Amino acid sequence: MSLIEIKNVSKEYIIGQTSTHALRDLSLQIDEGEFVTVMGPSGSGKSTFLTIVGGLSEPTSGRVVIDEIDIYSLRRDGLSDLRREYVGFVFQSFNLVPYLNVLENVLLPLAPTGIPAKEQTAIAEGLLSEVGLLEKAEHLPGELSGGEQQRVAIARALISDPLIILADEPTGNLDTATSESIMQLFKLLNERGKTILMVTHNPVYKFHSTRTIDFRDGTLVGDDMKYISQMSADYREGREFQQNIWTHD
Amino acid sequence: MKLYHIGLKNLKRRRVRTTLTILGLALAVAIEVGLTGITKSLEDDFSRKLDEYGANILILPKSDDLSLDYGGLSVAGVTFGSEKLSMSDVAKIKAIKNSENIATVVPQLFHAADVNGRNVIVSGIDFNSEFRLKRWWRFSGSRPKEPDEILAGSSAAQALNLKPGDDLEIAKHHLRVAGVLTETGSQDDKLIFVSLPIVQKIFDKGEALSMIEVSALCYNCPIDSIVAQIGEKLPNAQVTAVRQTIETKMDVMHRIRHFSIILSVAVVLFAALMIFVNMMSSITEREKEIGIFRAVGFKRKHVLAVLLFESLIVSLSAGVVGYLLGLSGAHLARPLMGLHDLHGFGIDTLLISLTLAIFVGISAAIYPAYKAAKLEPTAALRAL
Repeated sequence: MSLIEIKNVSKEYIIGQTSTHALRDLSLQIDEGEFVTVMGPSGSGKSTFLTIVGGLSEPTSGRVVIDEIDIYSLRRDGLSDLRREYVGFVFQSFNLVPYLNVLENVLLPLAPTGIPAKEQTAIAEGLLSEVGLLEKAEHLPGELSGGEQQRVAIARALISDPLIILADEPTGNLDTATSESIMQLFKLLNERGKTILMVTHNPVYKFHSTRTIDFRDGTLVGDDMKYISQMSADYREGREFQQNIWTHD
Repeated sequence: MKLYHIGLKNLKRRRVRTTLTILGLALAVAIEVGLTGITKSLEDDFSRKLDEYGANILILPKSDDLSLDYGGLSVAGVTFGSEKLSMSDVAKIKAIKNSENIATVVPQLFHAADVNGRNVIVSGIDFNSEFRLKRWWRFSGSRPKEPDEILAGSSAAQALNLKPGDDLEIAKHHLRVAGVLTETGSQDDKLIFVSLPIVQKIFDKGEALSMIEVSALCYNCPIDSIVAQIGEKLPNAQVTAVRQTIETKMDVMHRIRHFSIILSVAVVLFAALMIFVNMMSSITEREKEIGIFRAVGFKRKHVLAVLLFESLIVSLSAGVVGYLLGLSGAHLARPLMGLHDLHGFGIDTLLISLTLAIFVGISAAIYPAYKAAKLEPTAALRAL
């Protein structure tokens, strides 16, 4: 059984009297532990795909099943719970809350839960330690570099220990070296069992993933799983610099 | 971290806006509190002063034998002495259920007498009570201190050619004029005022009375109830409320109160509008942030809780600041208003201030907060 099943999903936006098909009859299955790179030109439907999988935007037709849950059959609150427990979002522009410090940003998804404060803090500090930002826990996002902010966003995405990480161009605002460190972080997460769907324009990042899907005009035009998987495995075996990725920025 | 941490952090981040919002609402609360307090103080002060202007309840014996018009009412038994009231009735009046509303009780005994060959009406009174009731009395000479000293009404003094220091004889009783009233324009001008025990003694009336005047501090008190209670205690008396005085008092007070309420409502509505506009603008600015909340698993009710908590904190602060501002303002305005004391600034007013501020703050914030909570995450997160 796949972790994510997308069945005949279409998404149509109607603006005024004009309708735009962002996705057309998309069907796809993603297994647990896959690292899927989502590619395609601007306006091809990549981000719409991500928001639909993440339970942020209901498709016009079709079904999205995550862990055997038809997510859009859930009530609104159920969908919110699913977002918190199954999905971690990482955005291109980090989307940290500017008036909350690093620790609080990481803790944000747990704020509505009844988890005791001490337990929350212990989890968040553990994650910050992993992304190398524990010493900046009291800093505001505005005091961090882009790479550091993205690491905070990744820690926030992991706070609920979700099965799936959805990343929308997570390196889009970062320089090459910082982007590489973020990609190494995603790879490590994937190795730890997280299923990752990452939208990117950069073809190089195909080599970090296990699968690449390609969109054109809302339609899936490429799904290169085996080749990319093999390439990714080869790449993984060849790397020797992973130990320093957490603090490289 | 809890939801309220987010609200507190946001308020701290937007210090200027938060402070201005608190001040705006606090100003409205201050105006409401100040106006209410000043109005209450004015009411009390005005009521006290109006009550000082004279009796508002007259008690007469039940009789058809009418010969003296007094304050629009006829007084029985002046000529024929059919008095049915006595000094014991004064004690009965002071023992009614609403006795705390009774300010002054003035017993009087009228009797016709021949003075220097002219007929005059002698009024036996208790000078202390009478002077307390009729604070507008002015006189030449001095206030009677000794039992045999009298006060002459201006017309009576003129008719009898009396002046302070003169001696006169009433029913073979030697008396001395202590003072002469300046003209009052009332029936008092025609009377000779003598100490009540002296009048009772020289006319051999025992403890009899012709009339009892009562001043009840009755702004908003149940005057009809007081009249009924006195009527029950004195079944042989005719107890009448001088309605015109009372209704004038009530009318003036109600006008002041209505003006105060209208002004307060206008100011409070203005404050509510200000908070509404401020919240709507704040929600627009925070769309992305709300999108983040929703994306990381906040339900609508969680977003609503954060925003309403912020509004609650602002409202509570505005309630306290508004109360203190209102109190300070009222103290500053007190001398200008000619008030000796301020009333209506107790703990109950503080609670009313807080309730008002919370009601206005939450009412004005509820729609913007609801609108924000309804934002779809993707619509709010323009980054996606």
